[in-house]
Amino acid sequence: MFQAKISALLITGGLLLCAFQGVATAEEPKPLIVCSTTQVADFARQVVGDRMQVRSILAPGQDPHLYEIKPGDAKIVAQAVICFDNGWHLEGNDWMRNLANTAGIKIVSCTTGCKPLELEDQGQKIHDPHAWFSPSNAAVFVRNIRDALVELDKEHEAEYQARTQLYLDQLRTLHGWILRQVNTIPRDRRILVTSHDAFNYFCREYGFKAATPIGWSTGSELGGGITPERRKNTVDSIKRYGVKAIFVETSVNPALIREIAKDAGVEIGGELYSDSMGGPGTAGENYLGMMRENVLTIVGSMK
Amino acid sequence: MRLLIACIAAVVAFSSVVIYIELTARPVANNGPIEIETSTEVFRIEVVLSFNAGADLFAENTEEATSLLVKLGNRVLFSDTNTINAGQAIIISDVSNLTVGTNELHLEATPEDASQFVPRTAKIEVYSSWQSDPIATQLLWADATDTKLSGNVIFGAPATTPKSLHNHDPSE
Repeated sequence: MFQAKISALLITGGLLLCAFQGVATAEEPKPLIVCSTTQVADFARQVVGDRMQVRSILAPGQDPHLYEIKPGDAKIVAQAVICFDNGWHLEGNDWMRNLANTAGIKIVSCTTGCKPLELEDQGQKIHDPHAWFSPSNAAVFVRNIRDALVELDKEHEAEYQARTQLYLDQLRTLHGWILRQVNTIPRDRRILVTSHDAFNYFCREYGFKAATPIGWSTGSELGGGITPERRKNTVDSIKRYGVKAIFVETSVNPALIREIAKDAGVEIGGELYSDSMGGPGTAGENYLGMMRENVLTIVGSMK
Repeated sequence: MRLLIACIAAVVAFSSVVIYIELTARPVANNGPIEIETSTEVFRIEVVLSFNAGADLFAENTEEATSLLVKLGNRVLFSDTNTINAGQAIIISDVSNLTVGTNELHLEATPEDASQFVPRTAKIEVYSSWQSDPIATQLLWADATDTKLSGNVIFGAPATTPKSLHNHDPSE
């Protein structure tokens, strides 16, 4: 009888220990990766899976050029094991790099190794930071993230490599699909008018001419912002080339592009995801979806 | 007497079981290492592409962003990251240590300009040192919209060069 009681106690004790162990494991926080933009965060998620937690400082629809640091951002960055930004000054006044440097956290710029498009303004050359709009540059972003994570967490290298391999194949498929879609529009009709100069890499890759009233940045950096000359040139280009539709961007105020559409007598072809992806549950909530929806909007309006 | 009969019956029964087991015993599978015979023959592989091949922008590593890659199992026979022009013959000489019997070549080629929507081909020929005609010829195809051409070529390799050909007197 006594032995049976001891056994029952031991079994109950063991079960309780296992249960507490389970609770303790479930509550253990995962290492945190902090990214500046939603695109960079998506690429990081594709590589790291559920192994780490990924957070983006920018919310869907926010403009990285104009973003102003909030008090909570420094706290989030301080908890990170690594940070990723886009680089080439997409983040206005390098806010993400400043946050990471202040917290003493390593930061990796995803544009490292991309072939830059150079914009010239007032005699100065600037690297266009919107490199992710070419899937082959997105592949560079993903490889940079993978390399940094492998260096950080060598133990799970095989996992990061395997996820990267699959995602690069998806980017290759995306590229082939965009080529097929864009091929249905005659080359001389491929003119893309958007709010700001975000689509230059897309235009270079897929044979479009770009025209925008605002420079490469919606902010007041060199080469950024709207000038009367740029606005006039955009309206003239739309009229001269017989552009059928122009596009507003999800992260830029649409008022200006609506005025230009009115002045030039063209339709708004739709809304494009540009410096930020869509919110959760939208078709553009990840990079592949964002690019797919943009291409469908552009091609659909130009046919 | 009864004891004797019982003993004889027991011996007969036991012997019958032993004989039954011996006769019906299945042959034991050979679980030893499989020996792979290597051909002593030397081969040559020729590849001609119908399109300009360029570095693969979606490769896992930029240093491995090959325009053309030819592999035999895990063995890389040819790899180049530079542009390879359409019609240029890529000759891979002195390919040895092939497996006697079936071998499988794997080829990957990346179009330099994927926006040109034309079907693409790669012609692969495998030659042995003792024959002027290829022992295998295959045309691999990629659709006009594919951003990469890849495929396998299967061919047979003999153990050695036939002796009759080595001893062949050209004056005959």
